[in-house]
Amino acid sequence: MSWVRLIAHAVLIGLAAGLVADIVRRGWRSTGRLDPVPLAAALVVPAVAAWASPTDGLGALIVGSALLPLAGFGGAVLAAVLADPTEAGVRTAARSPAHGALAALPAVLVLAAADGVLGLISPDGPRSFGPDSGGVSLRGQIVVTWLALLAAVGAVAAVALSSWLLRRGPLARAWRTWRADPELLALSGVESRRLLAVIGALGAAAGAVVGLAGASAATEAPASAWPFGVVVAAVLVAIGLGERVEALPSFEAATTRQRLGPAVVGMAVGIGVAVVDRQRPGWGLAAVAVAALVVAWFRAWVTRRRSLTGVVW
Amino acid sequence: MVSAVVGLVLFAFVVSTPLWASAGTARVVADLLVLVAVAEAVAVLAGAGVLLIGVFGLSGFGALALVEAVDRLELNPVVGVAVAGGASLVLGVVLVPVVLRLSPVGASLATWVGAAAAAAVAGRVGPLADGAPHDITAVAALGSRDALATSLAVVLGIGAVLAAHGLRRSPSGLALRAATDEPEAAAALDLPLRRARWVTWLVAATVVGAAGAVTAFQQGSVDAATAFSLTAWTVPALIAVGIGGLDSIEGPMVGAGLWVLASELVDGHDVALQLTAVVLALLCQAVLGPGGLWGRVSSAAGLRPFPVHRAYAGRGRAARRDQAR
Repeated sequence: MSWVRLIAHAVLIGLAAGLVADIVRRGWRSTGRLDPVPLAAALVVPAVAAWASPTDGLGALIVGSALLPLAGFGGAVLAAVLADPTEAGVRTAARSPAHGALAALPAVLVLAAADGVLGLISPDGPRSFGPDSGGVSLRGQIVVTWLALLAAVGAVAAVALSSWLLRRGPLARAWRTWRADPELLALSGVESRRLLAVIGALGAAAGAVVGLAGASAATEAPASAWPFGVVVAAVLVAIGLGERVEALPSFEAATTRQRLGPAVVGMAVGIGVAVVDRQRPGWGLAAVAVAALVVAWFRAWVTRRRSLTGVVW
Repeated sequence: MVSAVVGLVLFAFVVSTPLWASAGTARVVADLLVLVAVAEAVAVLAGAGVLLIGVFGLSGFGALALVEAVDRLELNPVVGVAVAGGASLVLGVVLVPVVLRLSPVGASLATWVGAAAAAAVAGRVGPLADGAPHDITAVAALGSRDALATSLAVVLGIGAVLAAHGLRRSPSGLALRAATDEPEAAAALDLPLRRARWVTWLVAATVVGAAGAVTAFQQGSVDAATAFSLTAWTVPALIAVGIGGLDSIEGPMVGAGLWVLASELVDGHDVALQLTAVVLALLCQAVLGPGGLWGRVSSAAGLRPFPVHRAYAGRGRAARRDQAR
């Protein structure tokens, strides 16, 4: 594989990891819960699509798109079951950092469940996600297939749309109300559990679209949840989840750096893994993981120096 | 009274296992005790806000430390297990800036990322570099390896339970519980939270590292794919605390017991077992809360073999006045 093609693939796969990290982080900053459902959807939906259409990439994409409502339904059910609508996550998470483990446990368990499902779907390793077809060429060699480009554009659009829906309109207003005061929302006649289910469905569907983009770029569907999961975790560690849950929607006060940060860091992680693996096979993940930890440590060190006295943790 | 008798019988059963059990039974008991130790470590650290997703990094490090202690330093294998626990403690001290400087959720993810990096490195340098199982010659040659491994597992399991109980009842444990319920009040009282997190993390790191060494001792060999396996170490521990419960000593024991029992019953269907157990753990957490199955049983039956709550015993003039009333 040429360097140009390697970097192009790494950028698209990293973009998928960054977008999933963005969805997860947005959920964390808003609800105080690590919502793993988008990540699980990003893994399971491409695997099912590849199983249903093993030789045709476009067919797999179509099958994957047809599965989006199902992914949304699954996300809605899990969000409604896992989230406690009577106690806004904002309060729960902001109340004590010691609840961090309680926020992370369901996330890892859902990932383990996704890993089990993937083990059943792909017992013999990753399934092919469509062979290389036509695409953008450079000196007679295809750099990126049209399918991968189409899926990447769709993923960016899906994440942007879900973000927009949670920023404007009645859904956004209901969500902001829930975060500030769930009782007020109940008095307004909106059922909290239904609201959380809708938001969960949006996240899962967006995650599934991103997963399809990642699989298109990698030309294979995931067979285990952990390799992609740890890349997303590395992105989250590098960009930081945010020390506290914000009372107002994060995107209203967000700078461009905060908005694009996850995607950019995701692409950097993808490139880092690909380049190091090319030079020293098998070392890519280790190098990127160590880099993410160093960045996180440095950020925490700077934050601690600037923080006020009375820091509990 | 009943719980004390049952506890004593269980204790005698576990401690005497190396004396009477067949090789198969001893192996199952050893697996159970190792999982109990790891699950207790995860649960205790969860009290400090950090979910130890990177269990597999520490367990793998413990196994590697045993290999180095026995093969390179030529120590007695049993001493080597203790040295591996000590090495894990040192590793815990080294990792304090990474784990305890981050926010609890960030630290939870960081343990995962760090363990994945360790697994990748361990598979490429050192004694496990070639990917094949590395025989620990001095351990494999021991005639009484099974009995010794079970004895080590007994010491590890009981030691971990006692350490977790002591930690939860210590001033550090009380401080962490106070911070969980009322962080502002805990900060206002200037409770030693930083020290509490330090102690908890170091205990957890030591226990998990020793658990990895005990498992390597039991098998007589180490390979990177098993020693640094997320599905072999982290998933069972999280299932155990998810089903049994996070906020008690008994919860991880119950969860570990159920997991080992299920593993023995449906041997050979690992994926289906993992999927079912994970779904059960999720349901337990969603429906029963952090206390899990044991929390519900405990509150219904009033069973508390390892009580961590303390009765209020006031001091000074106000307490005497309260008692006079």
